[in-house]
Formats: sequence, C-alpha cells, structure tokens
Amino acid sequence: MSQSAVSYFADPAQPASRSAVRAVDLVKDYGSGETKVSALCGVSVDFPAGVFSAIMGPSGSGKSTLMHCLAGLDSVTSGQVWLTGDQGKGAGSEPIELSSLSDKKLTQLRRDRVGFIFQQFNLLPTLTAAENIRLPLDIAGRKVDTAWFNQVVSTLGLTDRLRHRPTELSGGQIQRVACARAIVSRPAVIFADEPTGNLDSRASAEVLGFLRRSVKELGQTVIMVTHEPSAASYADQVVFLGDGRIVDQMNEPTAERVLDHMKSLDGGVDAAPEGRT
Amino acid sequence: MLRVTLKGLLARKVRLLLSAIAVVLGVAMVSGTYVLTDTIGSAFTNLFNSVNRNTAVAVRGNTGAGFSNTDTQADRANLPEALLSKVRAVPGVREAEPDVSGSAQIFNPKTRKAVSNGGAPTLGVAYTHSALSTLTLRAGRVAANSTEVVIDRGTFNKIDLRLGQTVSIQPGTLPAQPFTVVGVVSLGDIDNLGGATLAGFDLQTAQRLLLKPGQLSQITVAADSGVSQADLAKRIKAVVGKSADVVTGADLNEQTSNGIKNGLGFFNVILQVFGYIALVVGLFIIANTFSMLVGQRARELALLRAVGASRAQVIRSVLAEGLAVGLVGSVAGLGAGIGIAIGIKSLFSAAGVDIPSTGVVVAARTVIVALALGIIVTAIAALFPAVRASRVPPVAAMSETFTLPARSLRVRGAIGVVFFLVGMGVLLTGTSGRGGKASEVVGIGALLVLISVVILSPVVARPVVGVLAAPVRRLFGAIGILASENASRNPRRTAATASALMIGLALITAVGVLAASVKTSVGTIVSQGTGATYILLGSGQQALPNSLTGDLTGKPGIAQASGIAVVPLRINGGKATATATEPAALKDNITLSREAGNLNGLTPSTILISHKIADDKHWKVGTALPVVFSEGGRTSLTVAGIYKENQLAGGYLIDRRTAARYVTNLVDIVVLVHATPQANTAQVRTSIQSLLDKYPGIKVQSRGEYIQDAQNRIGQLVNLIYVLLGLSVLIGFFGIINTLALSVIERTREIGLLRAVGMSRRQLRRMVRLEALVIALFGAVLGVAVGSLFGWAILPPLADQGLNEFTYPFTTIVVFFVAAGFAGVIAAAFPARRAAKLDVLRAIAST
Repeated sequence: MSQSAVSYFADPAQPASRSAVRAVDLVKDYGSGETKVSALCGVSVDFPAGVFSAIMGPSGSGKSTLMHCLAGLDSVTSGQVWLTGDQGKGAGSEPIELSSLSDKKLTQLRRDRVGFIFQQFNLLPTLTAAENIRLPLDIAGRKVDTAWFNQVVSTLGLTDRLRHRPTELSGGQIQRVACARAIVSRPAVIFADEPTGNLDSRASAEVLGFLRRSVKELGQTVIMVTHEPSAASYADQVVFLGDGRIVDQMNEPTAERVLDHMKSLDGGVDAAPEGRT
Repeated sequence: MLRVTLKGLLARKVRLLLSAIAVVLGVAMVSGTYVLTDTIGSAFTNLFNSVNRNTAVAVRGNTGAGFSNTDTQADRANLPEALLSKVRAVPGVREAEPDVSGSAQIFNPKTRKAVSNGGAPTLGVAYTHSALSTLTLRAGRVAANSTEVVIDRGTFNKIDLRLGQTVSIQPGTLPAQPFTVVGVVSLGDIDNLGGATLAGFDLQTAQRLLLKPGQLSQITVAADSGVSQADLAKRIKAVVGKSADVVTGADLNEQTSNGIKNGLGFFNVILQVFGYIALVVGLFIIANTFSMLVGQRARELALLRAVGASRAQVIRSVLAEGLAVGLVGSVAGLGAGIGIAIGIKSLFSAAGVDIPSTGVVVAARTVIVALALGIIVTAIAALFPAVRASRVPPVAAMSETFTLPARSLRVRGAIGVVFFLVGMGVLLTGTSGRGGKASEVVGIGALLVLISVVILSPVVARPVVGVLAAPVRRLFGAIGILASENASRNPRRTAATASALMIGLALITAVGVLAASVKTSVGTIVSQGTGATYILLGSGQQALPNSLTGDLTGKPGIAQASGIAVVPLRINGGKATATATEPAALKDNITLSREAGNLNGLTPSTILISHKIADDKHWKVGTALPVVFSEGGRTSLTVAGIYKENQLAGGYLIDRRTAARYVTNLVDIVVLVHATPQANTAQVRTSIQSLLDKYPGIKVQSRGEYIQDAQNRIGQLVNLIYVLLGLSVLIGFFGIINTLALSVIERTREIGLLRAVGMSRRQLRRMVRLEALVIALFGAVLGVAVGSLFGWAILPPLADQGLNEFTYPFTTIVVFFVAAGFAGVIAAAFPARRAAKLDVLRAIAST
C-alpha cells in the first residue's frame, strides 16, 4: 500500500461517496505537560458504509482509542469525527460531527445510531437474552420490530435461548446475543471491540461469520478492532495502526497476508494473544 | 497482616464511614442520656448544697411507716407553730426559720391565663429573706403584708412583669386574689426549679393561704459553730419526740437531689431504650456493609490466602476492620452524645425549665459503656462476614470472576419458619390472657415474630419485591424492569437493607396502631366510667377548693356534684393509691358495675376494690384490710364490694370521710357534675362558670371535651415517640444509602454497558432511585405487617384497662408507606448521582 493511497483515504476534500464514519485529523492525548501521552496523533480515516472494516495494530498502537473516539465513547483532543445517519434512512441523511456534541446528544447517538459488541461483559446478568437484545430499544422507548427481531434471532440461532439468562449461556452464545442486540436497533454502525477475544475458534467463526453476513446481506456497516489476523480476514478492508497513526490499509485481506503485513510493520508481531489495549 | 488491614480501611474509608454512622447514632443516643442525667443530677446536687449550705437540720411533718423520704411535702403532716419556739430553745440552734409551702397558681395579667410549664409545680411559699432561705432576692424587696408577693425570676421574665404590677394568684384551693409584685427571687443561680412557678408571701399570709393559721410545713435550723449536724439533729429529736421528723441538712440535700434524679431516671430509661433499638438496627447495616465489602474483595482475600495467609488471619483482618470502624464510630458517637445532652439541656432552658449551670459531666461509666457498646456491636456484625470471607478458596485469586458462593436459603427458611410459628404461638397465647403477664407474653411473641421476619426476609424478598415492583415495571418500562431486577438479584442484601428500615417501621406502626385503639377506647373508658355531664379540673397540679362541691350541689339543673381526691396509702403492707369520694358519687358520677358484694356499702369503715385487685390479692367481700395513711394514721377497712375495672375509680375506692380523718390537706383533684335529665346543659355550664369566676385556673369541660382533650394528649405523646423512633428509621435510611452506594460500585461495568448502549444519565439516576423505592417499600411492608400484628395482639391483655376497641389507623399507615418510599428515593440521591457520574469508558474497562 502506497503512501498516496493513505492520503487519498484521508483527504477531507474528497469523502468517499458512501462513508459511514469519517475521522479528520483526530488527536487524542492523555495527561498534559511532561506526562502527556499521545494515543492518536492526527488520524484521518474513512470507513465506507456497508463495508466490514477491521482496525489492527500492535499493543499500544491506539486501535481501541480510535474506536472509542469514533463511537462517541471517548472525547477527542482535537479533530473531528463524522457519523452518517441511521441505517434506515440510508446514507443520504446528514452526517453528525461528534466532538461538538453534549453528553446527552452522545448518549442519544449511541442509543439510536450505534451498536456495540464488547470483548466481555456484554450482557446484564439480571436480564434474559431476549431482554438484553431489546435493551437499547427499551431504553429509548422504541417499539420492537417483531419481524426484524425474529429474523435476527433466528439468523443467530438464538431462538431457543431467548428465555435464558447470561449465566446459562455459553461464551459463544453470549457474544451472539450481543451481536443481536447490536443489530436489532438498525444502527448506522456496529462497533465491535475484540468481539472474539474470549472465544474458541469455532465460536469465533460463528460470530465473525454473522458479522460478515450482516454486511453482505443486510448492508450493515461494521467496524471491528482485533489483533487476530484470522478475525481480520473476515473483513472487507483492514486499517493498520501504529504509534497512533494510520500506517497502512489492505483490501480483501486473508489471514496470511495480514500476518505477513503485521510482521513487516514492526518486525515481529506479538504472536502471543494480546489483552485489551 | 495489620498493615494490610489498615491499608484496606483507608482505601474504603467512605463506605466504612457510612456504616459507622449507624454506630455513631446509636452510641450517641445511649451516651447522650447518660451525660444528660449525670449533668443535671450533679447540677442539682451542687445547687442544693449551695442554697441549703446554712441548713444544719430540718424538722418536718411525719410520714407513715414505709413511705419513702423522697415523697413530696404534700404527703406529710403539717407542724404546729408552737414547735418553733421549742426548737429555738434547743442548745446549739443559732437560728430556726419557719417554712410554709403549698401551691399557688399565678395568672398572666395580660392573657388572664394560668402560667404553667407542662406539669411543673406551681409553688407558693413563705419568704422572709433569711440566711436559711433557699431563695435569693434578686430585685425589689420581701413581701411585707397580705397583699404583696415576690415572684420567681423565670415567671417574672416569662410573662413580662414589672415591680409594682398587680397579678392575680389563686393560692391552694382558695379563690384567686390580687397581689402587688414587690420582689423577684431566684433559686441559687437558676431562675426556677425545673419550670416550677413560685409565689412568695409573708409568713402569716402564707400560713393563711397555703396551710392553716398556726401551721408550718417545715422548720429549717442553722447550727452554732462547732455543733455538728448529726449532734444537733439528735438534740432536736429529743425535744420534738414523735411529733415530727428530724433530718440533717446533708440528708435533706441528698433526698432532694435523689428525688430529682429519680424523676429524670424515667426519662433516661426511655431514651436509652430508643438508643439500644437504634444500635440493633445499626447491627444490620454494619453486617450488610461488611458482607458486601467482603464479597467485593473476594479475589483480594483469595490472593492473601494464596500467598500464605491462614483462615484465622483472614478472619482477624476483617474483624480488625470491624473493630476499627466500631472504635471510630463509638468515639464519634460519644462526642455526638455529649452534643445531644447539651442540646437537650438548652432545649429545656428555652422551654422555660431552667437547669443550673454546671460543667458537662462525662462519667467514666459513660465512656466505658459507649465504647464497649459500639465496638461490641460492630464486632458482632463483622463476625459473620469475616467467617464467610475466610472460606474464599485461594484458587479464586486466579479466576476472572469469582463470587462468593451464595449459601442455600433452605436452612435459613426452615429456622425462620420455626421462629415464626413459635412466635405466633406465643403471641396468640398471650392474646387469650389478661393483664401485665399476658402483655409480656404478647411482647415476647411479637419479638420472636420480628426475629423470624428478619430471618425469613431474604427468602420472601424475591416474591414480595416482585409484587411491589410490578407497578414500577409497568410505569417505567425498561428502567423499571432493570430497577426491580436489581432489587431482587441479591435477596440477602435487599433483605438486610430492608430489615433495618423494617424494625423502625414495625415499632412506629405498633405505636400508631396501639395509639389509635387507645384513642378510641378512651372515649368508651370515660363514657362508661362516669355519667358526669361536666368535669372540673384545676390547671397543672392545682387542687380544687373543697367548698366547690357544696356550692355546686343544689344549683338549678345540677343533680349531683362529687369531689374526687386521690390518697396515697399502704394497704395490707403494699403501696397503693386510693380514690376517695362521697358514697353518693357512686350513683351517677362514678358508674360502677358490680362484680360482688354491695357497691352501695361504702362507709368510713369499708373499702371497694376492683375485680383485678381482688383476683391478684385473693381478697373477697368481707376481707378486713389494714390501712396506713401517709401521715402515719392507721385503720382497718373491710371489703364491702368488688367492681368491674373502672379507670376513674382505679383499684381502691374509699369514703371521703375516711380520708379526711387521716389526711391533713385532703383536696379534690377533680369535681364531677351530673346534670338533671331535664336540665339545659348550656345553662348548667353558665351557672358552674359563674361560681368559678373567683377560680380562673379551673377548667370546665363536658364529657366530650374531656375525651377530646385526653385524645389530644395521647396524640402529643405518640408524636414524641415517633420522633424518638425516627432515629432508628434514620439509621435504616443510611443503610439504604450505603447498600446502594456499594451496589453502584459493584455494578460499575453494568452501568458502563448501559451507558454505552444509550442509557442517559437521567435514566440511570431514575433506575437507582426506583431500586431504592422498591427496597424501602419492601421494608415498609414487612415492618407495617409485624407492627400491626403487635398492635392488634397487645389489646386483649390490656382489656382490663379498658382498651378493648381495636382501631386500625389506615391513613397513618398510608402516610408511613409514602414516607418510607420518599425516604428510599431521597436516600438514593447520592448513589444515583455517583452512578450517573461514572465515565462510560472507565466503567466498561473496570474489573
């Protein structure tokens, strides 16, 4: 990947026609003065709608910070984050700039336009699977589209687990419930933070396969942070982060190509499983 | 290990301090009462030592054998004035002063109303400005003739008098008359004695108004230098012989201070009981807090175990935390208790009850009891969580999400059911009995039921909370569901939090239900006990003039007027109080129902007794009872009849003529007037009122007004108890704050998740508040249920006292529920804000 490709991607003057999330010159510093640490130093990146994107990078590269900033979970030091309208209204609706939003607006945005899948602790232990799936809609006071709910649930193979509580579900089932919760509110973007980090390979394949299908068949936009080349291989494109900067981007990745690329990036990938960054 | 404990304490100081509040409040209540009574007691001892410093010996009227020395002057015989010269002649007597005391009601010249401070005495004395007088002249001069008076400084200031002003005073049972205020006196450095009003006359006037001419209440004697009090007392005793009681000044001081201390003792006991209740409630909160802290630190404790700490060390570590919290809480509680004592003292002063100024007395006993109580209670509360903590297996340190295994509720349920059944059995047994024993049985039963509910509350928490939360779920949708799930997810915790609130509410409900029944029953008691149309009462403790009965009798429309006196005596060796009235009163004014014998047979040689007394003492019609009156007179009275319980008649009814023979100052405390059936009651009232013009202190009430008045007084008493019980509810309130604050910390990640998927801060706050509401209502339901049960069950044993009409105060109970709910929501404010403030990212990332 040439340097020019990256700059094309980051050129604010030429946004991709169907961009779902776009970061412009994003800077995130922690602390100040002597102790200042820059997690992101001027990241500009565009995630197209209807595409499964992966963010990769070694430990401390800033990939989780980037996702948190894109999703409105964390504030940015400078720069802008643009998020398009919700899925139902398509790409035509006005993009929203996140860095200027109040906490209340951000909360609404997370509720109405964003879906989340975390590595762990995705579900409330007091609620059943079905209640957990409906949670964002219930909080928003929105009606559940029963046909859509049923479709999502059956696609994820959760129909007979709906009345169970999280303690009665396997790790893979829990992550599938989290997927269902993320997609059932028809968000503009689903952010997945190491969604398969705690799963065995078979359960991982199920979850990642569903995320890919939701993109291919339903036109969903998914942005996933991962450190596993095999997980990244499910994505349509991979953005590589290093030291708080975008260092490369790859389309149609395979596990081998990603692994090779990671090795070339910092001269040796942390092949050992990595914790959350 | 100690260092680990201390570091742990510092890391959780806010949570521990919240639990220490429970200890602080309980200890403050208990130690505050000790400090208050010690301080007041020593203040009065100092005061009497100072005002009586010149009194070597006092000569008083006799009391009958077995009557204590702290009995009031009113129960003593008067002394003949002739004794004064005999005492003066005794060698070693430097000076002997005549004392006269009785009652004199002062009227406010502006409002024309009787001046009184609650039930404090209205004193009338002879004041002669002698060195032996307990009073000090502060302004003006001594009363010099029969129209002058000196007034105590408290009353003088309270009703804003001026020297030279005319006030109306009603001495003893005589008509009110005008006096010119010529001086102001104080008792040592205090304005009045415990709120009592005082009017000082010259000796002849005082004798004429308060006793009888030629009579004295007491002779106070000063000794020549070199003569000891004991010696002088012996010499005087030899002169006066059996005609009077001789006591040394030192003994007199002690008796007077003891009298005051005994009076305060009752107050003391009441406050202490509420203090102990508060501590018991605190026990739950502390235990709950420690359980939660231990649960949250399971991994940390497991790590300690993994690196080699023994189980005993873990127990000691948690217990040490408990002891530290107990120590801090007790010391703070002791400080707060001293503050409470000072506060109550100034409250007394503000209410016109002056208490001598003195340093605050903190006895060693107070400190020891306060610290021991606080520390022991906390240690007990921390013991169970400590043992539980020690059961954390070391391997838990390695596990990502280890939680202490929840023990089965089955054993607990079984124990609780056993307690409940036994408690109910005892309680129901009590309800079938009568009298004090049976009410004790009901009390024990109710206590067992209360304990059983505490034990069972975790078992019933889920279903009950489910029912209570149903409206919350329906009204608040997803937020309501989350709140109700949170309230029922840990039944033990919810139950422990609610239990603290429950105990307070159970007590308040019991008082409320009992008070409602008492209020209803009072009407019946009065209506059944007397047929009087009008009831005449003096203000305060003022007696009624003996002439009143005669004056009223024969007036148009009045069928009968009966004076009622109350006489302290010993019957068959036992202390008792008899009601004395003329036999004719038993027709309409005191309406008795016959149990045995002849109720018309009351004569100077007979006595009527109540059914309960007859039962308890095994006396029958015809039993001859030896009677001793307070002044020492003896006689024998034969039981002529036995009547069913009558509150007005009390246990013993004697002929007024019997009492008059043995009691010097026999006075009526109430006069009952029965109108003729044809009379116009309004006219009767006017004619009574016109007779009372000279006695502005006497109130005329119809039976209905009297009942209303009695009910209002009960209401005031109940309100006071509510305030005192409010303390335990307050502790329950802190319990909710603590539990929710800890729960919020425990659920940090859940809160982060909720915020991530779009819950607003407002919704989050509402969720926490609704959880608190549900927990508070759960406590209220249990408390009201147990309290109502007790309030219902205690009535049958009290039926003898006329309490036989169960009334359930629905409105009051609804108010309790609403208040409990509000308290819960308010308690949640701090934890809710804390939850809403959590940073989303950090909350998700926390472990």
